[in-house]
Amino acid sequence: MEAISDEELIAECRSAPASERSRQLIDELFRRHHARVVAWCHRLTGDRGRAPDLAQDVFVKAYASLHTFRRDSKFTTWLYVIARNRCRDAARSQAASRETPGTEVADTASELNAALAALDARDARHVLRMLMNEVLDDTEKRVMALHYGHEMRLDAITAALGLTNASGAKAYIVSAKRKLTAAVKQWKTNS
Amino acid sequence: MEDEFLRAALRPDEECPSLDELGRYADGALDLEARSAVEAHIRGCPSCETELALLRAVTSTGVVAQPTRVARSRWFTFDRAPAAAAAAVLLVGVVAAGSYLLFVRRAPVLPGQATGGEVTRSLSITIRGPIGEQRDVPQRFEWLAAAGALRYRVRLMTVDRQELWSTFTPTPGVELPASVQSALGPGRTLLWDVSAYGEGDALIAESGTQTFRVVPR
Repeated sequence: MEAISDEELIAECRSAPASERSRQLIDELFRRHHARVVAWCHRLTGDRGRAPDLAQDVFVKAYASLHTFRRDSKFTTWLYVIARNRCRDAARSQAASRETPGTEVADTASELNAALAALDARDARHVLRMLMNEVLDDTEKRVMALHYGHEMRLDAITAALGLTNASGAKAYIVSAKRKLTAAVKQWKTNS
Repeated sequence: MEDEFLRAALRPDEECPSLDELGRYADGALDLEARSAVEAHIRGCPSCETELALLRAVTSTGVVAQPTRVARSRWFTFDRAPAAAAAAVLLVGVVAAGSYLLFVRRAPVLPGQATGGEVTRSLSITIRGPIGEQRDVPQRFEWLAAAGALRYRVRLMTVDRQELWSTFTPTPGVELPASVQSALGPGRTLLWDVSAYGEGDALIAESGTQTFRVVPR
C-alpha cells in the first residue's frame, strides 16, 4: 500500500476518466481536504456556522474545474484560491446587504481623511502606501489592507490573522489610523 | 464617504497579480521573470503583500495535512499518464461534478466507503490563535474542539523546539499562567502545538506547529 499525493491522485483520475476508480479517487481527494477547507472558510469569514456551506460550494467549484489544475503548483494552494474567492464573494454580498466595512471604526477615520483630502487621488494612494510601509507594523498593515482593500469584516480579520487581543482587529485599525494621521501631517509639512 | 481614501489606496488594481498567480508564486511555480515581477510589485503593494501573507498563514497553519493512504493502482505511474487522456479531462470534470453533486454534497463527511484501497485517517485541529504577530502578550491558547477528544495536550516551545511549558486540558482552550506570559517577551518567536487524545488516551488529532511573536513597541 502506498500513499498517493494529491497531485498524483489527480493525474491518475485524468488518465482514466469516467471510471469507477476515478470517481473513488476524486471522492477520496475531497474527503482528504474537507476538514481543511471548512477551517479555511471559517478563518476567512469569521463565520463558523456558515463555513460548512461555503466549503460545499468550494468543492462543487473545484470538481467542475479540476481540469484547470496545473501540476506545477500544490493542489492545496489551488483549492485555497477557490476558497478565498468564494469567501470573498460571500463577504461582499453580506456587506452589501448590511453595512459598509468601515463603519465600525468610522469615528477614527475623519482626521486621517481630512489629512488625505488635500492630496489628489493619485498622490493619496501613493503616499498612503508609502507611509504604511514606513510607520505600520506588519499586523497593522495587514489588518488595514484586509479591511479597506479586501472588504473583510473586522471579526473575519481577527479570525483570519489569529489575533487574540481583546478587541481583535479593531485595535489595529485604530492604532494604524493614529500613526498614519501623524505620518501624513508630517509628510505634508516636509513636502 | 468616510474612509474612501483608504479604500481607494488599498483596493487591488489592474497592476496587481491575480490570486492564482500569487498562489503559484508562493509555490515557486513561476518562471524567473514572472517571479521577479511579482516580488517587485509586492514590495510596494500592501494589498498583495497581505493577500500573500494570508494565503501562507491560512494554508500552512490552519490544519495539519491529513495522512491518508490510498492504494496505488498496479498499472499507473506518473510517467505513463497518457497525453491522449488530456482531451478527456473536461469529461472527468463533468463526471466528477455530477458524482459530487449526487454522492458527496448530501454527506460532507462521507462514511468509510470502499475507495479501492485501504484508508487510514487522523483528524486535525483548527487553531484559533495566537498565530503570527501579536500586539499584546497572549493570555490564552485557543483552538476548535476535535470530535471525540477527551483531553488536549498543549506545548509551548522555543524555535529550536525546546519545551518551555506544557499542560493538559479537557477544554479547547487554556489560560497561560502568569509565569509563562512573562516569558513571552516582545520580539521573541515561539512555537506551540496541540494534540488531542480520545478513548484509551489514543492520539486522535494534532494541530501542527503554530508560530507567533509579540511585536516590539
